Amino acid sequence: MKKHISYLSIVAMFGIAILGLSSYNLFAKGIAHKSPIELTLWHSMSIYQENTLEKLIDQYNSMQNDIKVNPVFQGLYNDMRIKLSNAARSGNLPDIGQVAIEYLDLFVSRGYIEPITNDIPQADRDDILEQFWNGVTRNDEIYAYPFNQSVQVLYYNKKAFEKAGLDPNKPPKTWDQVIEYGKKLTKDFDGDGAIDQWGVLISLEGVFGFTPLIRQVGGEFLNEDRTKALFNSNKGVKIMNMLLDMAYKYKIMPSNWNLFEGTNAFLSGKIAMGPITCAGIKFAEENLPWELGIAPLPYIENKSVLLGGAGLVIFSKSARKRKAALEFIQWLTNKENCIKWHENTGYLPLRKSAINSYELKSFYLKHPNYKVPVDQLPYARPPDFTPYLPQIDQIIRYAIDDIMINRKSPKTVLDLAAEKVDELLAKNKEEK
Amino acid sequence: MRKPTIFMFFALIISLFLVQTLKADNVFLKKINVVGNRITKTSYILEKVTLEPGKTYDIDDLMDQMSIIKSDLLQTGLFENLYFDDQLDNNKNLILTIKVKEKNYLFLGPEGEIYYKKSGNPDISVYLEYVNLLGLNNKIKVSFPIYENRGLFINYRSDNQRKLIFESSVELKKLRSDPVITEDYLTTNFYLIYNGLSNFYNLGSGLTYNRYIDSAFILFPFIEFGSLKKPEDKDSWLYSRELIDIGYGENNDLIYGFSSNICYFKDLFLQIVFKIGVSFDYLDGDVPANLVLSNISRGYPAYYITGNKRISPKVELIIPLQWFPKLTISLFVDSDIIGYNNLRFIVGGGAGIRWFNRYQNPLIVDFAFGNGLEINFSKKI
Repeated sequence: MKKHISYLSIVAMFGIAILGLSSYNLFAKGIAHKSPIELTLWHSMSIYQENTLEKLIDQYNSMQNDIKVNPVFQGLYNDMRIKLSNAARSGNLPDIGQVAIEYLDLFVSRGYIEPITNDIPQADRDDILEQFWNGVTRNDEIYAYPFNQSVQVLYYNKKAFEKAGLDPNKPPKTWDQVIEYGKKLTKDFDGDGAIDQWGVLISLEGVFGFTPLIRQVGGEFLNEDRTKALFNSNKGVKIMNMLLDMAYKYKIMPSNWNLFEGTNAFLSGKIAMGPITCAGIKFAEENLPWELGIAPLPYIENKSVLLGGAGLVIFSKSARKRKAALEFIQWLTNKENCIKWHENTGYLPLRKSAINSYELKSFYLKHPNYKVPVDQLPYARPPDFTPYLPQIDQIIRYAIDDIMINRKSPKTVLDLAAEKVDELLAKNKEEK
Repeated sequence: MRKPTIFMFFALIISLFLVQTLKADNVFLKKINVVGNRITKTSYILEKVTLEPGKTYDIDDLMDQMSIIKSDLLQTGLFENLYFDDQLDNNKNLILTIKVKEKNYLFLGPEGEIYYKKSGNPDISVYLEYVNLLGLNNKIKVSFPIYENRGLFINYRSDNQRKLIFESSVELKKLRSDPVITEDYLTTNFYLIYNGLSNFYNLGSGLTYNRYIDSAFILFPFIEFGSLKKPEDKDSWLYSRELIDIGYGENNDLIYGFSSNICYFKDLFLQIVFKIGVSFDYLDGDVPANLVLSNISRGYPAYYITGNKRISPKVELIIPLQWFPKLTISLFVDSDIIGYNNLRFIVGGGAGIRWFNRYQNPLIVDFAFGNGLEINFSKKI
């Protein structure tokens, strides 16, 4: 009995010691600090990106006691746009929102956001690359801090290359080479007449797929004043003819798959190569059953890639909260965190100091795929911004479907689309 | 005379240019700082750092070494993440700062197995574990049985020596109501593992002193090949552990045997890992009853079948949840062919959850069906 009691005492003592330590800790924290400024952050990061973002926010919340950031996932960019618009109407905007750079104009034009140009330290202005500031600048005023930024790169299946007798370390550099490679990579393995592996898929996702290609032949999507569509020029027609040839003349590409179908087909080995956002590199590297190859986006006449992604917008009107939000955002995008964000997601590093850091250079030794999108930065440009970009994007999607699936004349369809876009741009001019 | 002078002049210019070029690819490492370590000793971290302040490094070599150091430090399991910050002083000398974020090191929790069948007895313990003792990556775990049994289990593991790992454990159990083990017992184990010979294999040896009715000593040298963890650059990998037992009971009667365990892992896609393994065990002679070979299939109570020969094939599918990366589902089928002269076959199977939180090693809960339902819950040390 005596032994039994002494045994229980040891267990109880351990328990009391642990509880004592924990409660001391809580007590000490409770009395030592006033309540922090609470900030709500609406974001669009899911799966492993959300995990990385939450870890960073946890770290921020635990390293100081003045500001507490509460992240809330609000769906992908389009859902976020709708939720933010509704919240703006009902006056329930979050303190910080992650807004896709192409949707920023909606909130700027309606006066929901104040510029932060004068609040940005010169060191950040100098260190964050100009391309990224361009994505969040409207009429010379900065409206957001760049955060998750991406470009398209060419993903390719090294195993499929080897099987087709192609050197997996020599991916195609131009779209002409893509066609040549595609002919070798398109396979009907079981001979049933249905293609089992397509050579390539370029899913022209509206404005975002079309813009870099038209720029690669020296064209532009809209004019500089954003008053006229230019995508229906001969250059736009040339792009569409190239894609039609890939689908119908060379038969190396399915004609009616969207980006979602295309990405899934790539993951399951039914597509050998295709342009996909660099934000997927981490996921693809860790989850594909074959070795992933990443190459620069192929070009036609000159190199051009579209810069996409989102910025962090401060919606709060309270000066105290705006100051706190800015402090948090500056921490989240500092050199160390932008390296961590890049290494753990595939999104681009924002800062020159990060790109030149020994940390990233040593990281690239083991993960060379991550370096490819960074090398594309010198010729990366954001899309042609206008508040009507979501509507223009829909018009272009329908037009591309009409050309690729219904096989209508590219010139006729693009002219018709350009008329509709011009109407929207004229409306925008009137509203200004 | 004029021609050689011009030649020498150009040679000098070229060599100056080359020196400048070479110089641009080198950097002088002035200092290494370590920050963020609240528990882990800086000296322990620096032991893994192969760069030396005061030396000039070729940049490519520096990058190479940084990549290796990062990998070595993360492999200690002590850090959630680490980051190299570089700064150049006014003379363009490099000051490297290693910023570490440590994991939590103190754990308290229950572990054990609950077996639902008339004759089954729960075996539940409460444990206290500290995994960074003295800041040198030493682990100590103390656990106490809390149902029916009384006793104590202490495990200590030290791998602060770069290539030598020492592990010891003491297990004392009293009044266990078990059909096979009827007396109190005490088992002490000591292991030494040397992993400095190759990245592919480790050599080690263990010594057991066991006191159960009679005393016994068993020495078991072993060799380990491959890795249980996925190598960074491979989609399939092997692990094997080969072991020989040789010892004596109290009456100088011989104890002898061998154990061979081979596992093959294949990362199918989306980080879904298929694992197939088999172990062969033979242990004979004057083996104390608490060390005798027993079934290891989940779904059966311990010591459900005993024997001197055991073959245990296992298959397992480990599926991480993409939308909740901290959780992994495991589907498994275990089996044993076991006995003395008449071998018996049993098979069990089930599903488990592994929760990878910010603490070291996952929390494991397995539900196994065999001769009843068994629930295992543990956190690997």
